[in-house]
Amino acid sequence: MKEVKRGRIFWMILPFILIFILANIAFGPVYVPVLDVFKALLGMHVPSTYKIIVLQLRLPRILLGLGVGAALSMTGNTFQAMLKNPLADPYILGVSSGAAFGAILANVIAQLYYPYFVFYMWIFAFAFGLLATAITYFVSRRGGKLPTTELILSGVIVNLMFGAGVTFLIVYGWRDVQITSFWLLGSLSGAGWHDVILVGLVSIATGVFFTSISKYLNAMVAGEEEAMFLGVNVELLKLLIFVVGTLVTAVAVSTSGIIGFVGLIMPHISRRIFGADHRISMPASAILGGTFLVACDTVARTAFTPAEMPIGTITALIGAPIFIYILRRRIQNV
Amino acid sequence: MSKILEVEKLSYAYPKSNRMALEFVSFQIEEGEIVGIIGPNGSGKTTLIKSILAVNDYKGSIRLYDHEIKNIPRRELSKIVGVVAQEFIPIYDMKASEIVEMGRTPYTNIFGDLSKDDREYVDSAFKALNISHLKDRMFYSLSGGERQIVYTAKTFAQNSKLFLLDEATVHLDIGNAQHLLLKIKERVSEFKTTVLATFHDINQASAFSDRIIVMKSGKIYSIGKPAEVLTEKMIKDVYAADCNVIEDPASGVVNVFMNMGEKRLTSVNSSL
Amino acid sequence: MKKFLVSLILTAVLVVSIFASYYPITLVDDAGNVVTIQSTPIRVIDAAPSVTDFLLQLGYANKIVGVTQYDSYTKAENIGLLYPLDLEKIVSLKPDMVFLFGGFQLPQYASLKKLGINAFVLNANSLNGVYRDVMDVATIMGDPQKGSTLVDKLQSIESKIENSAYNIPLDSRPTVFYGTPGKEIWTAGMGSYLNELISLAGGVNITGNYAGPNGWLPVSPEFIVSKNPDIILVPYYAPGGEKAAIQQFDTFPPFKDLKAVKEGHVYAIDGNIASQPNTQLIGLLEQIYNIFQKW
Repeated sequence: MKEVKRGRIFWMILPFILIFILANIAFGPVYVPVLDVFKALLGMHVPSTYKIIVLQLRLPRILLGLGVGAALSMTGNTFQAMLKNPLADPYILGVSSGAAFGAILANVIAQLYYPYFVFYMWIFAFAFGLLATAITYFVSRRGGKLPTTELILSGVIVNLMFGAGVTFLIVYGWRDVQITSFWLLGSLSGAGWHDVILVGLVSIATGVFFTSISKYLNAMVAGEEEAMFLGVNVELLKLLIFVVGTLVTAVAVSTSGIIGFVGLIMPHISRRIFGADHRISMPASAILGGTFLVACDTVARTAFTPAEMPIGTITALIGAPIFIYILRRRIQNV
Repeated sequence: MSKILEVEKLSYAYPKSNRMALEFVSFQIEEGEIVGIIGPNGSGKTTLIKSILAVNDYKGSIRLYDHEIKNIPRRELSKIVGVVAQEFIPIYDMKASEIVEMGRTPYTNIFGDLSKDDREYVDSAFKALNISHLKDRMFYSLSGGERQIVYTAKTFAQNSKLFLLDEATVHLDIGNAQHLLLKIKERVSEFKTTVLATFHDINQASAFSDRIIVMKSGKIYSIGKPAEVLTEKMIKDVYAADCNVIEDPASGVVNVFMNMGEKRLTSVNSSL
Repeated sequence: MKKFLVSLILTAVLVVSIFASYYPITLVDDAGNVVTIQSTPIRVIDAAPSVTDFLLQLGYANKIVGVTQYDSYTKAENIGLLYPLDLEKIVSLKPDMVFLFGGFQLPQYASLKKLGINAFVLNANSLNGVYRDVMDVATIMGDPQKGSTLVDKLQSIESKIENSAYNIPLDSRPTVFYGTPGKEIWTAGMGSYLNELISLAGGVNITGNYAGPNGWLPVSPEFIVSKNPDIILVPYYAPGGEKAAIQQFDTFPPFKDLKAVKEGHVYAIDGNIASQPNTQLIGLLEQIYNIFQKW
């Protein structure tokens, strides 16, 4: 009975969330009157500057934020259930740094040798993301389990390793130190419609996949064996989750850099509000993650006008205290 | 009566140490039977249960309704075999109803929507165990006994033909243990469910089971009705314990008493 | 001001030379380090591409014994990376002076100092800074006269441009944006030498009122759209990359309707020169001035 209610809360707040997301289009370094924003969205006549700002700059940015936030948040939610660890997320596990390393490697190769390598960017990101995941997983594994401390420590090591790799590639290969901050702290600035289409397609497909495995994730919350007893092909499921989770992270990272903490805190908050059942928490964390990132990006583009702030610094400022809170609670419980 | 489970020359070695956990274990279970497994720690009880669930890579053969367990798709297997282990520890706090609904995992569609039928199975599992009032409670707010009963309800909702209990009562007090075992017995008589249960407590096994398998160092020491199997010699050989075996005159159940080497006077009564 | 500065240094040098022995001399480098030079350097390591220009312009190419692998000057030993410096290699070349640039190479000053190697940081962020660096290098190498000749030459070019640009009325100066479209758009703001060049050449930098680290900042694309600059300067790095650099504005949808893009006022400038504060900036100033003349 109550489960239905939680679902209903979700549907009830959804329109408000959509309104909130739309409201973000009204904010930016350049003042555009709210009425003109709506006119531009509806294709009515407005000054061309406003039209470009709303349709070519802000709307793609907001949609990209929605897609990236949803993708990272769902991936975090899935990793947490699969690894039986509420602190798992693509950033903590080092997947994001691995993917960033791959993306930059492709860029450097493109810059120095073969220009068409730019198109392989997300494939490189994917390959190195998988490598990073595999390293974290095998370094932290202790007798078939993934203890919190080991997982976080090996994630830190993998992050440091690939973070150093990123700096190395940029400073020595690319020789453009300024773009380091884009890759290491992320940004939605300069997002184009082609980014939106790529991320949109990938995150919708991933959303369907993650939602369709929700019942198996529910079965996983008491461990792999219990899931097997309920008929879940655990090894196949884990493989699929690792591959799909890494793929979506790679696409997110290659379009907007490394954005931390979204995948960690948003699933946690959505579980707090809507309960742990993945059939609800999965779509909920997608919506919350997307909304959170859109809001953070509004801060990133307006706080220090006309300079852009890397969005990762804002998600970290909000996310790190919540991370500490979850970690402390976790340690007390264990 | 037809055989539900046939185990033949089952062996299993731990992958790293190569130590044998099970060696040439053979037995059969009839449909509707309750079979208890006892044996000291490390005698292979849990490994045996895991082999029947095809969780480990065993040698020999385990046939369920004449099909080799390894070859049964996991989803189909989970419709036939349900498990209650020592305890259920979810990472997230969930509602009791959400946990019992997990029992329907093998039956629901890809999005996990519960059909009307599925909901009925969930409801009847709650009713069968007399815990309908716990439905909306959060799992971690329940007592240890209540948690284990909710966990059992999940397995009831799974509607399996064969129940495997792996020391399911080991953390329970006598009241909860009795409640749980009685409810399982009720289910057995109602649905002709078959039960294979390992026990830490020999006396619980004796009271609960139609037959008992005694394990020692990965082999079957003896197999038979409780009264035939539970002997002072067996206890000495298998557990290296000095015990007296006495039959309860009221129920006919055989019980094992630890022998502490002294005869105690019934002083409590006399002093009153 | 700069004339005063130059003459001050010259007077100091003159006073020193009156007392016969030129060395030892003590100078303060661009990072604020006090550096004493005991005798004429004869083995110089040029540890950054931006530094090479000073040595070549002053005619000290023959004193260079080591350059980094990124340098366009290749007639000296390759010492490898800019950071971290290959200290063993540097020691083995027995230099009596190592020229560094600022930024991420700064921590290397201390490492060199610990090894007893004399180093000097050249990190100008204005044209005056470049003139001072020319004088510093000339003074260190023992011939301040060479320095002042070069500075005079550069200054005369600068003042010619400055004087003619000075007469352009404020409201008919073009608004200018410098940068490359993309994920993060870095541009030159207040306090950067590029901002100074744009002003001297008679333009108005749209981000000239905003500061950032070293004068550089990542700017929001919305801001550029709303300012709609008259002229866009885009850096290119690979030889022959002018066309591709300019095309980036046509292919970046939010920018393709900018005034400068539509009217064909997007111009490529050599990014390697624009990112190295040395005497080449005067040439860049001339180039930018000529670009502005076309508007």
